[in-house]
Amino acid sequence: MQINGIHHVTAIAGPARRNLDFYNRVLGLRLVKKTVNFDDPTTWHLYFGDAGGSPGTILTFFPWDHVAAGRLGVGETEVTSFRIPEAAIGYWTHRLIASGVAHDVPQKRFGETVLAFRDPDGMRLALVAVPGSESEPAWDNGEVPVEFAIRGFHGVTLLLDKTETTAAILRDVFGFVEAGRDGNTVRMRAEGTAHGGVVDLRAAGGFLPARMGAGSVHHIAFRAGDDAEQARMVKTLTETFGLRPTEQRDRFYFRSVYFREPGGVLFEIATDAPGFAIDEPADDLGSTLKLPAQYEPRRAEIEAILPALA
Amino acid sequence: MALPVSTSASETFVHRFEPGTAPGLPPLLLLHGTGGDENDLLPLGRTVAPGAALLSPRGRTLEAGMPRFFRRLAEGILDEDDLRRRTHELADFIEQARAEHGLPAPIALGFSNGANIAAAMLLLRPEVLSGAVLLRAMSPFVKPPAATLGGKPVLIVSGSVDPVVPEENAARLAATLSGAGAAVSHRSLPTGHGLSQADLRLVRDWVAERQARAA
Repeated sequence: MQINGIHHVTAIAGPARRNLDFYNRVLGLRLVKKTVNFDDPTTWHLYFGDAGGSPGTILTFFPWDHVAAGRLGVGETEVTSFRIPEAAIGYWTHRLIASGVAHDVPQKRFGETVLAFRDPDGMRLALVAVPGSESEPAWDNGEVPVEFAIRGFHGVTLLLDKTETTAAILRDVFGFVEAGRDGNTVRMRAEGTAHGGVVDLRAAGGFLPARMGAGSVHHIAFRAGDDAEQARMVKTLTETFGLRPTEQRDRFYFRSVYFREPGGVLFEIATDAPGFAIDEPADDLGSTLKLPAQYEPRRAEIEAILPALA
Repeated sequence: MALPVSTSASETFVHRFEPGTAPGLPPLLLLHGTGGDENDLLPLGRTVAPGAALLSPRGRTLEAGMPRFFRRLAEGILDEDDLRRRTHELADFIEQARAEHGLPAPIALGFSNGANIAAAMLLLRPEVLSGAVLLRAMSPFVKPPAATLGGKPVLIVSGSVDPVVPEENAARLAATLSGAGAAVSHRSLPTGHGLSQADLRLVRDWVAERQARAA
């Protein structure tokens, strides 16, 4: 059966140590993979997620020591949101205050309570109270009680000039359906998936274009169960929408194609297989630096040059 | 109408100039790689040398529409006659720009093709530069001319898996410049021809040390 929704979100961060501390300790996500940017092995690529590194829970970062701050604008992901149990809003409000994290007062959107905040690089995040999510498994990092812990992605909000074509791609290629409207925002939902099933399209008109930098989302990846399903998605993108996705690239934990959707956001289609347990046991995810084969002979050199994480 | 007897810097090279905000720092001369232009390295310059003046010309030859600072016969094989001519042109431009803006001799910061012409300038017109950062540079001349570099600081950063510049070639460049009296620091990173975050860290630290000594 086809399972739709978000596979992962990749963003740009400032110093790696601060990024790791915030997502691992403050937000209580599991570091599920520690590797390098395959195009620049002197830059970390850190993956955070749930206990098993499931698709729909994975937030990844390229941390750059000296990157300038990005500027939010049209053609970019405005907010990345996580699911938490309904009873956890109070806990998280206290935790953000205690951790010195800038946040807004909780608000109702699409009937859900949303607690919006920023990470240390200014990336816009939100915790969304979702009824029923308390029964979903969560990672126990010893800091955040499991009953309150993040359950994976709720979804993303894209800031666009116009929403129609992007909505059509979500519908015809990724199996989303329109699930509601609130002001200038259209909610698209992938039915049958708990994690990462929501994409809100926010029409901002001719607002300033985004400028990529620290705190910016680089791309949003959507799920394809296998290579055949990915190929069918590429066929629809090509034949119905006249888009030209890249050749498939082997990202080792998944296989990817990329395209820029007409609203300007970089989209990826990533296969669920083979997943993060392909090169280390599920219990040990994220504990050691994993390198692709071409860099393995230079491990000592690379380890010496990567910025310290601890 | 009378023809001008001399040309200003802006008439010889398309370029960007950003005045310095911290007086006393040596300016950076930014030299882009093949297919780049005068805008490419400005963010890098601002990052590695905050407050320094930035002078960033665009290479004047084209290869399939891509700006370069001099011609090549094939990838990795330089047209040395064109390189000599273009090096003198660029050196003249820098001297004009220095006079116009009242600048001390700059530190060149070049990537690939831009690093190669910076290396050639160290050998042909050393008085124009106060030092150089050469990223993914190769030896510009098969038989390098004799030069006297009198302790000028040079940072060479190579990629140990660079398919364009063999390690032996970069090592030869380091030996040539050291032999001419430059204070050469040669670092190798586990990367290819593209720039990495580690390049940025190395260059930033190296420039900060130069600036601290100059202050």
